[in-house]
Amino acid sequence: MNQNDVSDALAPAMNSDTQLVERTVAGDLRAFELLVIKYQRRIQRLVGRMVRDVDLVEDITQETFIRAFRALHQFRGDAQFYTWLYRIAVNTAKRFLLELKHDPTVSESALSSRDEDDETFTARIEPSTDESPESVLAAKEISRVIDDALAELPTDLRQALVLREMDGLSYEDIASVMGCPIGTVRSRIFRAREAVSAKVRPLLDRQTGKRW
Amino acid sequence: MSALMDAELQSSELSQALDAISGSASARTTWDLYHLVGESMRGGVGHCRTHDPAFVSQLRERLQVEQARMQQQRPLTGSAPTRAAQSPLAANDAWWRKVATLASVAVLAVVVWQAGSWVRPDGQAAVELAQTAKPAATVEPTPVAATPTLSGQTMLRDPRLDALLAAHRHHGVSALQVPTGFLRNATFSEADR
Repeated sequence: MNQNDVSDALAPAMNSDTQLVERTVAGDLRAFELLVIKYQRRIQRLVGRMVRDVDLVEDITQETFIRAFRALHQFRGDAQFYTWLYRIAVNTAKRFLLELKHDPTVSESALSSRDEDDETFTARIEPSTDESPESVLAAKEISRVIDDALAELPTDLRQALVLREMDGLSYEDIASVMGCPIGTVRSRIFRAREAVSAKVRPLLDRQTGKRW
Repeated sequence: MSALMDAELQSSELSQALDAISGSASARTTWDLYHLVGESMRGGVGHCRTHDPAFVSQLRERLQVEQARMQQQRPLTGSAPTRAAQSPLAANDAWWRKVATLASVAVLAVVVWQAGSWVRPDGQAAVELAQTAKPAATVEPTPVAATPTLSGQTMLRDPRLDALLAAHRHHGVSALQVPTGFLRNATFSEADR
């Protein structure tokens, strides 16, 4: 499990994934689109560690989401949605690789032999080869900017966001801890996110045009 | 959008939020950014870009086709069936676990109740059982004869038992030629009496 996967395990127990899954099962495609937006990069990075061909990575990622969509009614919510999606992505990539191995037109270099059997594969601190040093540097820069932006936030905004994102408290619990109405909590978290996002957005705009 | 991300929206608010996000590329990027901030706070930023709109657009088209195909496969249902209706209940389903727990508790309660009635110290239960087991028809008292034995002790004789033993004396020995335990003590042989 790499650092990104760990962050999922630490994510607040009550997040929007379950709500969006239920909404999708009820027929609302827009809800699934939000899940795609949320997890696209992570799934692409995961697949990119198994397959070297960038075009193939995108195909497998697309296929992963299609398969997830088909099987969404089977998602019982016992595990995190990302954990479930992760399994689908790994299985989809394996199937692709298996089919391609029998295809004589595909070169060996397009395929990676690294095994990533399950979500608990050995953590790697060093970046994978599919992540360029430039990308790794940019990700570190984003982390630093976010940390700085958080430090600059007014205490009440920072505290509300930390209680939500890191401690996973509900708005009701945060309101109880901070001694303020739920509406105030909602507003503080929103303002905190807006303030931090405003600092990060220019960095992300610089990366536009790159694939993943 | 912030409250949607935290699953703090009511159903009606959720619809409004979805309307707002689906109609705006900027809102979708903001949705992505909010998650990026959260990931970073939990120590997990592994990428430096937001989602790829072209990828999402292409996937949307495929999903629409897929959704239409899935709806054709179940044309009888006007709306999407509920998860409960679609997924069969597994043996470890929460509902079945509750049922199993309740059944176990009920069985345990019956066993404890029965055991308690047997071990009641005042012997009242035994009396109750004896009273329950008493046949409705009264049995006429059988005349019992007192017969002196070789050891000088008096044995109470039941004429009806004697008649029964006399009629079935050939059953006194089993197929292994060994008297059964019961008949070893209740035999018609005059010498053994």
